[in-house]
Amino acid sequence: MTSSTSNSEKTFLKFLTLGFLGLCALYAGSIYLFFPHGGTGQNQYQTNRIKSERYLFLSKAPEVVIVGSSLAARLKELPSNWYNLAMPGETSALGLKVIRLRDDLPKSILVEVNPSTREISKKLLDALSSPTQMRLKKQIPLLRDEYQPSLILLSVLRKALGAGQSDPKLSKEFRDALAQKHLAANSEIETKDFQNIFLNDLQHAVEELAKRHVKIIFFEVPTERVLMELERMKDLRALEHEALSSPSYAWVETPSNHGYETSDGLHLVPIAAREFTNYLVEKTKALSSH
Amino acid sequence: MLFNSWEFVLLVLLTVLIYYLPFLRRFQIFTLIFSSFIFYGYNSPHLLWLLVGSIFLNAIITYLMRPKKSRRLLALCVIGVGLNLLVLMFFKYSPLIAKTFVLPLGNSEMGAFLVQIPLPIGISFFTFQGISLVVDSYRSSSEGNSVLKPKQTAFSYFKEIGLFKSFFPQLVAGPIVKAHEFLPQISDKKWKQVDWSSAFKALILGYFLKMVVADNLKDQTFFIQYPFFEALSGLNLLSLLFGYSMQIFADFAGYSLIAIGLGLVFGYKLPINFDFPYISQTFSEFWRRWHISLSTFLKSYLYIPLGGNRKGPARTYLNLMIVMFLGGLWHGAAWSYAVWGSFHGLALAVERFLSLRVNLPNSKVLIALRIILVFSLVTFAWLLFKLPRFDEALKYLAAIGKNITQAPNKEPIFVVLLFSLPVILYHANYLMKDRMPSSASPRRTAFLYAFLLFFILVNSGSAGDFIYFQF
Repeated sequence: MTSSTSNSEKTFLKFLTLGFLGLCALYAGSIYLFFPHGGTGQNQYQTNRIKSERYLFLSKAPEVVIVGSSLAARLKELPSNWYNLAMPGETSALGLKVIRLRDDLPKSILVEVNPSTREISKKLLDALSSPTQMRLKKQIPLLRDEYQPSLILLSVLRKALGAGQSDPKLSKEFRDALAQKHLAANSEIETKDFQNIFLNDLQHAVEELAKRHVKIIFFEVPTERVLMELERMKDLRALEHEALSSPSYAWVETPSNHGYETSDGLHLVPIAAREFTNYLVEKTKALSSH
Repeated sequence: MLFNSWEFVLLVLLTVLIYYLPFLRRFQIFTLIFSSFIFYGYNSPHLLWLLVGSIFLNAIITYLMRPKKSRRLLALCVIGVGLNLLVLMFFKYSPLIAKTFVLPLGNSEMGAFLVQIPLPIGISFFTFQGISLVVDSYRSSSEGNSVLKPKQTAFSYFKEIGLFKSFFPQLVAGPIVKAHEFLPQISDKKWKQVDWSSAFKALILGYFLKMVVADNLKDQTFFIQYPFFEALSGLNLLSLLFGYSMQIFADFAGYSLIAIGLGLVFGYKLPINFDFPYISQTFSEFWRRWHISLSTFLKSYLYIPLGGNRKGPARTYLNLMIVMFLGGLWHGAAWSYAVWGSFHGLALAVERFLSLRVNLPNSKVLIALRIILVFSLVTFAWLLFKLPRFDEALKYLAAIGKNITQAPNKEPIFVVLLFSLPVILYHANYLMKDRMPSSASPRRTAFLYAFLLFFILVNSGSAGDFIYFQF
């Protein structure tokens, strides 16, 4: 190797390191000054990861935490000391496991129950449980998903264009087709799978937390009435109540004969989600005061 | 083991450390072979025997090719190529054969057995390298040259073949290295001789393309999945297809660059696999720029032996179709890949036919139109990679037309364009290179790579498998 090659190689490596460190410092300063709240995810996995990381990096555990799936994830405009940890595509059991990753616990946890045989996402839980990664992310916010430059850019653009996330405009045929699909999927849930996968995970997770004096409150997010009134759903609901009944657990009564509108048979439209949130907050306060 | 996993980083660091320790230098080849076996057997140790078996098979056959008896040489070459193809056929194509021929005839026991045969990772790559070794040995022996170096022992020869066949940077997804390119490079390597800046550049660019571009686009192109795409607007569907085209390039070119960078770290120069393929004006140019190591392999070991273009136009077109049909099937054991390959074969044949008869002027507008046309056709053909079921691919195309008037969701389109931008700039930079200053200063280059490294740290997507691992 000639000395000129060696010199240009050294210059390259020196400026590569300097440039990299300089960019990191500049970006860390920028997010601290201009974007302390970060952005939201571009996809389900990232959104859930950001939601969980934000929960884990809170200076103090909130008083009430909601865990659940995409149904409960729509509940917004909560009281200031509440945190919605419900994650689309995931189950309540995952949320409960995330809660246990912190040393301090909330006073109450609102646990969404819905008939599902979905298993806990190992990929997300592993990522959140990695001590080295999480310690690094705690000390160096730059490494957190919410501060990815692309997410910051998107949130700036959203703000500038006044665009918020809303339900996609689905045709009536498509909505009906989705509702039919949910109907078919729910009728296919095997009792054995439901008990072994969903209820078992949930039972274990709540038992652990209840032992540590956390108030466990179960609730169900209303869906399309035709789905809720399905005989199969009633059976599964009975199984849930049987498996999760204990004097130390409370249940929020699901409003019967409700008129909440959904976008696809399952998920509440924003107005309905707001109405149900108010109902849930009221009921939870009443239960907590007992 | 994935290139973007912590286990892999640890394996590389340990291997580099042991490899360059002066008192262990005589074990350099063993160090690399051992690390390669750990790399290959990490997830499925039971499949390691296949790699070891393939090494021994090819080493024995090519070792026997030493005597210069032409009849025996040819027989050994046929046996060697045949056995490599048999291994590939058995492990890769048994399920396809079962589904197409055995199960429809009602032989359910045999069919069930064939369907459950596992697909060992990287088998398409290391069997092709075996074929290259056998054919290169045959060619050099029939010209009177021995495949062995002067005074080389059988043990030393087997060791070198072990390294050639298992070298972990390119073991599971290429570039496909030909024996005549790799074997002469095997020698003592010294730390001082490593071209570190080229190695770092290849590694940084490779990881950037994979982790920032491909892994982020992967989460968008996830929706090229039935029935999810049915509800999306025509414009969103087109943007997803565009994004997939960018993703597959970033994923595979990224992997190849990482392999090249790692090769340099250990003192080996692996061939370039991608040369800005999306600026191609013709399909033949596209195949000179895309997965170069495969196209040169198919050219040297299939197209030319079939007669190439030396046996008249009709035979040339037929040869092109055969090569691309088989090249398509090499990518995956499904008929959709054969159709994908045949589409490219047909495009090459039509292009050749027209190029002999039509002379188009070389205006800039026409060049741009040709680039757009080739890119668009190549991109539409990628749909068969993402949706191997024909009915679903057709539904996707129908949905583009059906939903074209539907109002698009702008945010996903923006995200796709944002993460495609590096690939677009990468190609545009190449196109503009004639109009730019000849060479950037090391400082400017260093800052550019620092920028890429910064994005790897702060904007990587969730880790996903390399697309070409499945092949």
